[in-house]
Amino acid sequence: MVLLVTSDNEQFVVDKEVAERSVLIKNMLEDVGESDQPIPLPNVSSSVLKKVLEYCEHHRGEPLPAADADASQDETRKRTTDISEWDQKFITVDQEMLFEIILAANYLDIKPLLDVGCKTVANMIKGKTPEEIRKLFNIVNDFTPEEEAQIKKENEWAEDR
Amino acid sequence: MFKMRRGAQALSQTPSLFGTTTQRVLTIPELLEMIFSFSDSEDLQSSALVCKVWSEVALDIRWRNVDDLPRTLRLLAPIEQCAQGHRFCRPLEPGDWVRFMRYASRVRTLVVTPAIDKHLKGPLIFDEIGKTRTTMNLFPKLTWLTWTSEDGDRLRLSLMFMHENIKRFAVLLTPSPSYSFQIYFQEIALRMPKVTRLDLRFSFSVRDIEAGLCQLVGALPKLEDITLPKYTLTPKIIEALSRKENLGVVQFEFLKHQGGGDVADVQEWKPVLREGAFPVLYDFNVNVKLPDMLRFMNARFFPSTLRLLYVHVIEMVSPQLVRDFFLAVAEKCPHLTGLVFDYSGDPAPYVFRRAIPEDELLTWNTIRPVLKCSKLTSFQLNWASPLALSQADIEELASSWPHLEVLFLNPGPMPTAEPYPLTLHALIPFAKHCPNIRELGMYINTSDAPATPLPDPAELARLLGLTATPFPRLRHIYFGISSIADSESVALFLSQLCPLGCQVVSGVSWHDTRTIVAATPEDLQAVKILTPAIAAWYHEWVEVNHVLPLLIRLRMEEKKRRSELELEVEDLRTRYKVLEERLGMGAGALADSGCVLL
Repeated sequence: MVLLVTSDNEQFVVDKEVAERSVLIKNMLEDVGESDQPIPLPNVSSSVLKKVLEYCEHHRGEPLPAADADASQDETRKRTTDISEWDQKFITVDQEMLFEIILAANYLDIKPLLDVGCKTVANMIKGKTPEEIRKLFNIVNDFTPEEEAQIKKENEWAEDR
Repeated sequence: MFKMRRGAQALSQTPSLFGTTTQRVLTIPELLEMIFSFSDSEDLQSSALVCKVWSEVALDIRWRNVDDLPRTLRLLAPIEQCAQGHRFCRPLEPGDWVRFMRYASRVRTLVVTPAIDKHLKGPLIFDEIGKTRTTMNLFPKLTWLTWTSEDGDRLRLSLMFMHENIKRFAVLLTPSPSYSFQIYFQEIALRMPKVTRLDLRFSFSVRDIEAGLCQLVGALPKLEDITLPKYTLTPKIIEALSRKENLGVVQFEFLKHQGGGDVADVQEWKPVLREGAFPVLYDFNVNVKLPDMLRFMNARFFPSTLRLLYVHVIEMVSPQLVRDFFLAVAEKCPHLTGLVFDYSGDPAPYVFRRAIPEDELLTWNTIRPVLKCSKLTSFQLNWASPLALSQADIEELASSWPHLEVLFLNPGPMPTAEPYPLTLHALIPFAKHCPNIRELGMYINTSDAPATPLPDPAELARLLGLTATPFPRLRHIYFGISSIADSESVALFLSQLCPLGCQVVSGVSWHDTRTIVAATPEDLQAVKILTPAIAAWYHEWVEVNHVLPLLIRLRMEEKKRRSELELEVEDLRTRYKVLEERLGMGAGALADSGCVLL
């Protein structure tokens, strides 16, 4: 068992196998060796960690992605935005929680969970106009109308084909 | 799942200085990049217009891989037709180059397709670029260049895109009287000395360019991976490659875009290796006559580092020689994880005969030495005639190979007129012994009624023994040209073995030859009857693939329901037993406790 301590000082006792789905925790455990030392996670709150652990618990035992999985960065690849049924249900949360999960998955280094989060955001963007996207995420448009028109003009590929 | 204990004191969440988490995440370029990596080009276009931070990240991804050079060059200025082909409609100005470089500097992968032969005709466009460009490298971050213009005279235009940071280079070589490949190869070595992966596509005898190609190979110190058309790995080229100290992969491609050499060039095949040959080679693919390959492997300095070996045999050989080859592989390639032995009707087509003479059949005895390759997890065998294997042979093969991941046992041979003995039963040993299997290809007979009827679910469960879920990782199951009469019973059987998502694939993979050659007029007669049957089988297999997921889903639901019922029965039994015991103790016991807790 592993003891995890969150930013709001809650303690979680977790199976080692479940906790080690996080590459960060796995590496920390390897560094400290066998010990009962609690592992502090100052960047994760208890409500988010609870959610993240639910994911790790469900996917325990599954093969972890190879470390060199993104070695093919430069290659032309079609990435699927399909999300499995369970993951889909899991990630159906309010927007703040979604982004909290993404941040936590990034910090804890849980690639499959990070992918699920990013795919969900990509799906939210899908088919929307720039203005709709800004509204959705409350983003301020810092382009002048001229700049916007220029980028639009220089990137019109889709209509070309 | 996990226990939670409250800590001594809970720190109150301090509101972030950066606003909401949503806004924080959406300004971190690394995370945005990950999100956009799942977006299509239209969504990238919209994202590029959202705000400045998004724009940079989205455009980087949008322009990372470019396969439309004409469109990209139109960023400089509009292009119009003229007497000599195409030209920019005005002389290029510095502002044009600033605009162009804003995007060109993001390009990592450029594929120049034959479209340039149609949309960028003549020399004027490239002349103007050459004259006015503001930097030497049009695409400074380019690491992968593919040039497939079909106009040999314009091959030189590709020099304009070459530079020293390119790591991967693929090119279609079309002969031209005005430009020699010898010179072109020198340009490649001079301009792209850091190339690690080289892919040459052409359709002529490699003898024409052999000397130049050997020089090119010698001049690329970082070469790790070379891809050539089939029939081009001549002894001289093998010897030149053997001296490359970083070379890990030597391969050929059957695919049409790769072209093809002249099979005569590999008929006399006696490369001689020197000490230290191929120091890090791990993936070796070659078209040879098998006796030559055997000699090569048994000679001194054959690399012991191979993990993948693909031998495409260009001439029919005796089963004894095939066995000798497998023995040599087991001895010479101790690290081998994947082996393909391919005789596939190329260059000589398969010949149909109603019956195959005994001494031409590959038996279990031929194949058995493969088991000595202790690390082998992937084995593919293609042979002209069906393998002479019995159910007992399959049983031995599967039980002695528990870590098997990929197995193709000749799923698409030239059929004979005789009924083939292996049936769907042949899958059971693999289901029982090989939990890691992902791809399985078999040639079986499902149209003649098997001697032993197919097992019903209870019998199958008994045969599988302790295996709770057969084939947990199976993705594809290939039946090649296996016969099939009744898709329903086959699908019903497969639904007990295959996991959800497993695809049933059929049809032949014979490389070039779709025409069947017959040995005698009688054979021709027989093949005329067989051909429509094979076509009909294909459709039956498609039907199996169609209904299989539904059947598997149904079985899963039933299984779940049954185990729930079983649990309930178990629970009821326990309660009944408690009651029975209490009653056994007499009325006094009941009165004492007042009630029975169930």
